Amino acid sequence: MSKHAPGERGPALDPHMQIQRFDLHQRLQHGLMASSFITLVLTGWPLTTHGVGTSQSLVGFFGGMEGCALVHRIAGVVMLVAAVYHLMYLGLLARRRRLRLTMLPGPKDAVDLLGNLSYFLGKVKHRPRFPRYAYFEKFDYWAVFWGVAIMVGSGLIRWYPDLTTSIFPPFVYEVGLHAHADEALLAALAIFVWHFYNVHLRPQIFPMSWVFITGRMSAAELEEEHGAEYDELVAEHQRRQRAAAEAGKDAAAPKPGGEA
Amino acid sequence: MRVQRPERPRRPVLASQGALVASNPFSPPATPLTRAARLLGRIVMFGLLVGPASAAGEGGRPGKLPADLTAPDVLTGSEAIPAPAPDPLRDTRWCRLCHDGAHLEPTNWKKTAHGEQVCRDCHSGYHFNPHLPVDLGPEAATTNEGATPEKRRAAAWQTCQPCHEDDVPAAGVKHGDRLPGAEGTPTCRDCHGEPHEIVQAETLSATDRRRSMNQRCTACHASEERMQKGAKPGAEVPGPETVAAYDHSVHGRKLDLGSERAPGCVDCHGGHEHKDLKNDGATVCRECHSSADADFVTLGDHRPFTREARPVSFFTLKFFGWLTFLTIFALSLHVLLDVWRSVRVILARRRSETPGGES
Ligand code: HEC
Ligand code: HEC
Ligand code: HEC
Ligand code: HEC
Ligand code: HEC
Ligand code: HEC
Ligand code: HEC
Repeated sequence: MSKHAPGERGPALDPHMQIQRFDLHQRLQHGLMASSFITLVLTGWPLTTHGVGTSQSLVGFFGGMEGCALVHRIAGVVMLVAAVYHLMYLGLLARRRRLRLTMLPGPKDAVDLLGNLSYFLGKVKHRPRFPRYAYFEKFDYWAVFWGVAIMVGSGLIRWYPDLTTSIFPPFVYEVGLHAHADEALLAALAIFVWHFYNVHLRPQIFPMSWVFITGRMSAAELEEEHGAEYDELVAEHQRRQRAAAEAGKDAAAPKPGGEA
Repeated sequence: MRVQRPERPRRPVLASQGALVASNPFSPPATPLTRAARLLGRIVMFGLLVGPASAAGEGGRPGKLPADLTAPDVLTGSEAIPAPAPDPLRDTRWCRLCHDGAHLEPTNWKKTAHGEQVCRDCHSGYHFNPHLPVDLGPEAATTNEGATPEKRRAAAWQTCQPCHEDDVPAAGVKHGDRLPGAEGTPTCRDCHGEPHEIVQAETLSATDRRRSMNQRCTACHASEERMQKGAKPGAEVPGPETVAAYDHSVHGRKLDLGSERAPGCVDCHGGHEHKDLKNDGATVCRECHSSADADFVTLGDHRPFTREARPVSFFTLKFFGWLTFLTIFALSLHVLLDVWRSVRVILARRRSETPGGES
């Protein structure tokens, strides 16, 4: 295994210690996004593959074509709400000066990608020590960011095709029509192949990583999955311990914040 | 609920077989046993029809057929038949004596739109069998005597006219300018199906009504061959791609999935009436899309998503096609490599966990 033996890099944290990675807001946003996404896929899919028998039964399950269309719209609004919620959340963190830009891609991501590929090919023994968000998680995030922007925009265009053509030239609707169908396919494939592999099927974490529900991860898992963040925590821990020793007090366990 | 079936063998279903119809090219081969059974049935049936009537005739009730009717001597050997009361010409049992079939059964017949009509309302020239070669006149229905396809089409058209004078396709629109009966253009039957199985529109759900009518329109409009046959000399006809585009559209897909609101061909193009989609399509769309304007109508015509017809669609599709392909290709590769490596790690660990000592 690629796992580092505890203590390999300086004094480790207790491997069973739980570390808060996501706060309640983030988990709620994820939950809204995930449930609306799955509903949207289930209610939108039949329209793409309308000739297939399963489409008919799916539509039946949602109470016919009209019911299906209604559920699709409700789920779409939920997704829009989740997106607005997230943006407001980021805005609030920024105002409180607690927004950490850990989601922005940087040069380390390219290095990590190469490192990870070398690991896959057996050229190196360990996976790279990923930061708070590994490059593939950043990809997920920005894919959803772009995806939601496109899907909500084109979805509204398709919801009100007649208004669209009275404001814009008709080709705007055509773009919306195809963007909605094709981006949906892309997003669904990306989620079910890529995201589900990374957070459910990967042998190291099968059946799933519970962090999206609990928001917590053990220190051992953290070291495995986000080595660089773990190292930062250890450094922080040691700094505090030293400060506490100076102040003659016991060190409080570090409680890193969970912001994005 | 009955959905009108678009295709059915167009041949008469004959109940009786014996000598009467031995020369009938439509009769299915019959064994002596079925022949005997049918003959028996015919005699019983005939008895049912004639018996009470002749009894009534003896009782002094008016029971004579009109003078112009000749008895089917093959059946009775006599010159005239006492009529089944009260009006023999409105008694469909008479015709059903020889012509049967599920759709002509009284219980089924009652459910059709013409449940109150009788055979002779449409088949005015038919009295007996072998149906006499009488001069059927212009209002006659189909005739088996010297009926060319053209004559038949025109006659079928005229059969319906007397009762549906206001319900025929208007002149000068769609197919209407070439009616009645121009080669390849639709007859009443092409759009309304088997004449004996026409049901009233209200008895069908909105979805079924649109679906069944769509089937009739597309039977021609999706067929290059049938459309060419109906082309005006020297004129272009819209090809099968109109239907393909409709099937591909949101309207077509939703109807296919059982929507009660999505339009079929007729909602936009009308049945008999003229809907001027070219100049005033917005009015049509506005029935369902409240702020439709002329621009909007262009979304509903049947141009395909080709580079020439709809360049914006064409390039949008290309863009997303490649984007999806490349992204998913890269992601799948990443996943596969990850799987490969994970499996190797697990195998290596197994091997190191079970050192040679065990064997
Ligand atoms: C005695 C049996 C018999 C009776 C009664 C009878 N028919 Fe016929 N009918 C036939 C036969 C046999 C044919 C086929 C004749 C032929 O093809 O030469 C036929 C042909 C027809 C056809 C034309 C079919 C075609 O393809 O051209 C129609 C329409 C028709 N009958 C209607 C009626 C109606 C309406 C009645 C009642 C008023 C009636 N028939 C009564 C035996 C009968
Ligand atoms: C609404 C008018 C109408 C009524 C009522 C009607 N028919 Fe017909 N029938 C037609 C038409 C029209 C055709 C010719 C179809 C064609 O050839 O295009 C036809 C065809 C036929 C044929 C020829 C076989 C075929 O299917 O093409 C027979 C036999 C026949 N009818 C018998 C009957 C009998 C028996 C009754 C009464 C129970 C009856 N019809 C009532 C309109 C009617
Ligand atoms: C003897 C008169 C008569 C003849 C001939 C006749 N019909 Fe009808 N038809 C009626 C009547 C009556 C109704 C019922 C109308 C109603 O209830 O509104 C009807 C109903 C219909 C309907 C259904 C209308 C609806 O409400 O959906 C269609 C379609 C139709 N006929 C087609 C035909 C065709 C095609 C023919 C020729 C083969 C024909 N009819 C011949 C009398 C006739
Ligand atoms: C028997 C075959 C046939 C059937 C059934 C048929 N059509 Fe047509 N249709 C044609 C032919 C042939 C033309 C082209 C010749 C012409 O314009 O007369 C045409 C032309 C048209 C046009 C174009 C007219 C124009 O001005 O360019 C429209 C719209 C149309 N049909 C709609 C329908 C609808 C809606 C139905 C079903 C209710 C239908 N058709 C059923 C054969 C058919
Ligand atoms: C949403 C409304 C709508 C529906 C549903 C619809 N059409 Fe059309 N159709 C149009 C419009 C709009 C046009 C373009 C009219 C024009 O500009 O001349 C058109 C044009 C046509 C034309 C003429 C094409 C040409 O090149 O001249 C035919 C034929 C036609 N439609 C057949 C059908 C058939 C068959 C169906 C059902 C399978 C159908 N349509 C369903 C809206 C519709
Ligand atoms: C191009 C196809 C086409 C042809 C040809 C055609 N019809 Fe129709 N007809 C329709 C459509 C479509 C409707 C509307 C049905 C609906 O709304 O489902 C209709 C409706 C009717 C109705 C019901 C009208 C009402 O007001 O409810 C009658 C009756 C009728 N047709 C009789 C006829 C007769 C008789 C003929 C032959 C002379 C004929 N049709 C030819 C397509 C056609
Ligand atoms: C009989 C009602 C009806 C008529 C008429 C009608 N439509 Fe529609 N249309 C619908 C329904 C229902 C939907 C499905 C939309 C929904 O689920 O809200 C739809 C959807 C659409 C959409 C796709 C919206 C999307 O989901 O991307 C377009 C574009 C459209 N119609 C254009 C037209 C045009 C153009 C016309 C006129 C030529 C027209 N429609 C006429 C009922 C109609």
